[in-house]
Amino acid sequence: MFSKNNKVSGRQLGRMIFVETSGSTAFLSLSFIGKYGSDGLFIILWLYIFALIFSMGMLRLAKNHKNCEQGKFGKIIKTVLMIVLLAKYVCMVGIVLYGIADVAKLVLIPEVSTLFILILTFVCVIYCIDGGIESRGRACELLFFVVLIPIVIICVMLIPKIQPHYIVPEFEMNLKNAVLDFLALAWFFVPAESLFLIRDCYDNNNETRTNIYAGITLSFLVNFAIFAGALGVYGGKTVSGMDRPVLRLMQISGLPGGFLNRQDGIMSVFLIVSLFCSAWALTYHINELIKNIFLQKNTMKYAMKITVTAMVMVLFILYICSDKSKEKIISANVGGMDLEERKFVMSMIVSYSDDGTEFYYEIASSGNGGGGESAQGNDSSAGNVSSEFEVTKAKTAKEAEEKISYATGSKLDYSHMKVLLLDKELMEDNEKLKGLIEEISGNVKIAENVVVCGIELDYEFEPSEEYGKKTEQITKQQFENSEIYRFNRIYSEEDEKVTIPLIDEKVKIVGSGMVTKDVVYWDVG
Amino acid sequence: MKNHADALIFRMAICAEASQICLDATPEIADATFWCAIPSLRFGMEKCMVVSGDLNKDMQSFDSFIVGCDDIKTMKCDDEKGLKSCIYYMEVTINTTSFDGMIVEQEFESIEEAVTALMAGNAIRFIHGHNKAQKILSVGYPMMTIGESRNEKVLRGSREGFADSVKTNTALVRRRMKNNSLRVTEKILGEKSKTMVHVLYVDGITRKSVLDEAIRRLDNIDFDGICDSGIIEQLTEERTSSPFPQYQTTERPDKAVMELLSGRVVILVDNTPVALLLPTNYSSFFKTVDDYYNRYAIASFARIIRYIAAFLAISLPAIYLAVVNFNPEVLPTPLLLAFYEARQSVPFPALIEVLLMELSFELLREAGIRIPGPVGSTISIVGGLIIGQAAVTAKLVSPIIVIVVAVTALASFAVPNEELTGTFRLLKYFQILLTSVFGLFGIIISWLLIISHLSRMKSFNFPYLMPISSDDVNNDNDKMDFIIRFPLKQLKKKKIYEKQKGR
Repeated sequence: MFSKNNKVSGRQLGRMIFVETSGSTAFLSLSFIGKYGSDGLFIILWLYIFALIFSMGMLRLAKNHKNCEQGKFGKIIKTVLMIVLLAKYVCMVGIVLYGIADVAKLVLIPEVSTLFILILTFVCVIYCIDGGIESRGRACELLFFVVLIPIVIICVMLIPKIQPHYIVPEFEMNLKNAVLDFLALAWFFVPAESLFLIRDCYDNNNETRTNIYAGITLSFLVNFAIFAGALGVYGGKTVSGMDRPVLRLMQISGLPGGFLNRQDGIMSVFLIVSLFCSAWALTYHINELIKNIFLQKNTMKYAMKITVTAMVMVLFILYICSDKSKEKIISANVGGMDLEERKFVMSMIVSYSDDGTEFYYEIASSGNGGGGESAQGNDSSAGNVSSEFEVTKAKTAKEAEEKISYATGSKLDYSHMKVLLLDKELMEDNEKLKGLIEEISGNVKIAENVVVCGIELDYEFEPSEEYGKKTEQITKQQFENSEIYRFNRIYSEEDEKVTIPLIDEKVKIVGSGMVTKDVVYWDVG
Repeated sequence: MKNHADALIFRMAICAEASQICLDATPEIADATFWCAIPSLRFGMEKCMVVSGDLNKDMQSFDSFIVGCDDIKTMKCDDEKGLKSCIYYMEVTINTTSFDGMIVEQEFESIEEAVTALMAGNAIRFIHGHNKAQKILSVGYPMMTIGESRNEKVLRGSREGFADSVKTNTALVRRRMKNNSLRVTEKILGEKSKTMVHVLYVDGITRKSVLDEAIRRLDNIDFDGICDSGIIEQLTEERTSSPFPQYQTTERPDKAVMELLSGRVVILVDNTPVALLLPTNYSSFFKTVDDYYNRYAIASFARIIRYIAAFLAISLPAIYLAVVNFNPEVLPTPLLLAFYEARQSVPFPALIEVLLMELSFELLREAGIRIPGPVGSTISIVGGLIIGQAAVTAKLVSPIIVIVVAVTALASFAVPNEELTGTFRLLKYFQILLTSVFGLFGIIISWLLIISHLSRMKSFNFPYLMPISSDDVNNDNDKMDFIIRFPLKQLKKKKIYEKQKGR
């Protein structure tokens, strides 16, 4: 009656373009932050201009040369263009699906195999494309608002943390690499809907054109906001060492443990939804292209079969080429890991000595658990939950973790760790320190804004009931000129205080990091 | 008649025959022949039996139709003038003491028509020497009187609900819309049950395409017994595999009238107080009739709560499972430690704990429906207190999961549509199972699947997700009556189902 097959309104088209491009580019273009720092801003700006010009060209072509494909020459050009687009979409959808699996494994389900996630995602994409363009138009209309709201929340949360001087361009770009990267990004940024524009499946009127440009502009603004946020918070130099700035960005909204803090799990939902929409759009167009290029009958059934086969092959190649192929082909973690099987680390001390490095863990306990070299602590935490201490000697943090896990029969969970205290001697040994920090920062469960303090431990130090009971607040002025190692690297102009656990005179603070909140958890007790 | 195809051919033949007569003969004869043909079709007979005027012969013919029907009684009468007659009736449907003052409502020429009238709850009288059977006005079948709607309660508005009789229900609608543009099309459906169905619409407002499609689907029904509107719903829905309801239902005449005025079609079925509304969309399930009786701010707030409730009803147990077992970092530390403490003494994994409590609630729910009224409240207390409290005390489950299940149950009841609540219950288990393997990723994927499924659904060619996707249908006019209900003065534009031209 109203909805004709393969036809969506101009407004729906604009929303589809927004949802699609914000997914693929938010993931891919932001990886350029790590490469170019603040210069990446210009890459995004150029991409925006490029996408606009490309869309304008497509629209003009669709409007003024409607019959250009009827001639022999026109048909050849059209077929070549379609094959190029097909190649592009096949590559892109593989990478986007792999991106989904990557994010999911990194933040949400590390125990589930990549292949398993890929299969599930791909099955869902195939189910979705079966609904046709109309169905996608409607779903994107709904997702437009669902996706937009988290983005706005992210941006609002980041505003107070952004340091404008970080966004000043540095102009130290390697031109050759920049051009190559720009071309590579442009390849991704051009909306999959460009095929749609060429085929003229919509009403080519002013309103439609406006909606398409609005969709691309919105996508640009989203990219710009996330980019500026990441850059403003971390700074160009810091970000340049990060492999996944978007996910890192999601961890910094506050110290773990507070309401709406540590929301990287929730925010990754937004990223996955956007990427899924991109995969949906791309797979749909692959299906359409296969129908138009190869099938004379133009049937959905055969096109779907070929699409599925092609995509399975691409995913398989991607899977084989990646280092994830070392993991079990299909592994899942049914039921996850229950809370009682975990030991939540609240703070950690690393002390250097000649016969090995000592690792002290303060672990939240209900009073029933414990084991190994544990010493029962005080009721410093919420309710009846007390803290207990585990101490072990090991060469690396991972080895220490394994030893503690073996001793206690539970897995250590760092997701709520707030403070990392490092022995002064360890901080003076650059090589050891670097190795330790690299090892710790590789654990995605550890928040980006953990407080890191340099301490001087008495060699007779042993955690006792006093640990964590007495606290000290330090301010920025107290450690401004001291030897500071900041794991979180967050810089704030505000005069904020940090409360850390102390053990009388046995631990002397020689430096500390900063947090974005006034106090840490121990103040509760 | 061997099969349905034969029936169809026979029907076409009769209609053709009747039409031919209509062309050749006078209108009266043609009319009589046509009406004579239809009952014979209903009874699967090739010839219709005409009332002869010979009482014995007519009774013999009539008796052949009611063999084995002991509930049908016969009363022979001889009056002072020697006029012989016989009355067929059903004990409950006729007041035997009032036979003296009986009123003849209608006369039939064929025996089959008379049988149909008898089955409808009337008395039939044959008079010797009179070649027509008389239908005597009767009290009809016993039925429930008009009462309050049990499943659609409102704080403000009429208390009246539909009854079981289709004619009463139509009258209740007519009473609220005293306008001749309200049209009623009567249909008899059900091969054996012969259930009366009324299709109500407002001429000039309802789109013709919607009406035609509704009539077409009703005509295509080939089923023995239409005992409830739910059977019609299932026989005429577009996607049988979908868990989502494709018709909206109501037990309230005022709601039916409001929907009629917004261009929808109402189907009333005899023997049920539940009316069907079509077309439908997802958002219409979240609207109640008192949304329009209350001020817009309150109504909008209530709708927001309902949408949140819908989300919680589907996803809360799954979110609990995902957060506790996969991503505990999203919880504030004090809350996490509270969860941690509560889980310490529970012997089951969180997944089993969730399933255990959810299934217990389902048991309670089913028991609450089936158990007789006075015992029902006792069961609620037993279920709520003993199972909930005792399970926590016995450390079978943690108190947190009791809260989760209780909030989920409350949220599901906040959605003002039982059919949709049933769908939510199914989707809840789907999400729990996906989450048990994939954590938050499972919730994302399941929601994407749900959205994709909803986006491809249609109801009588209207997208099911309307008014979200209504910009190509009516320029987003209905978005003013979506999650936020704008003031009534601003809702003057035509409704989405309304005929857009020529009202």
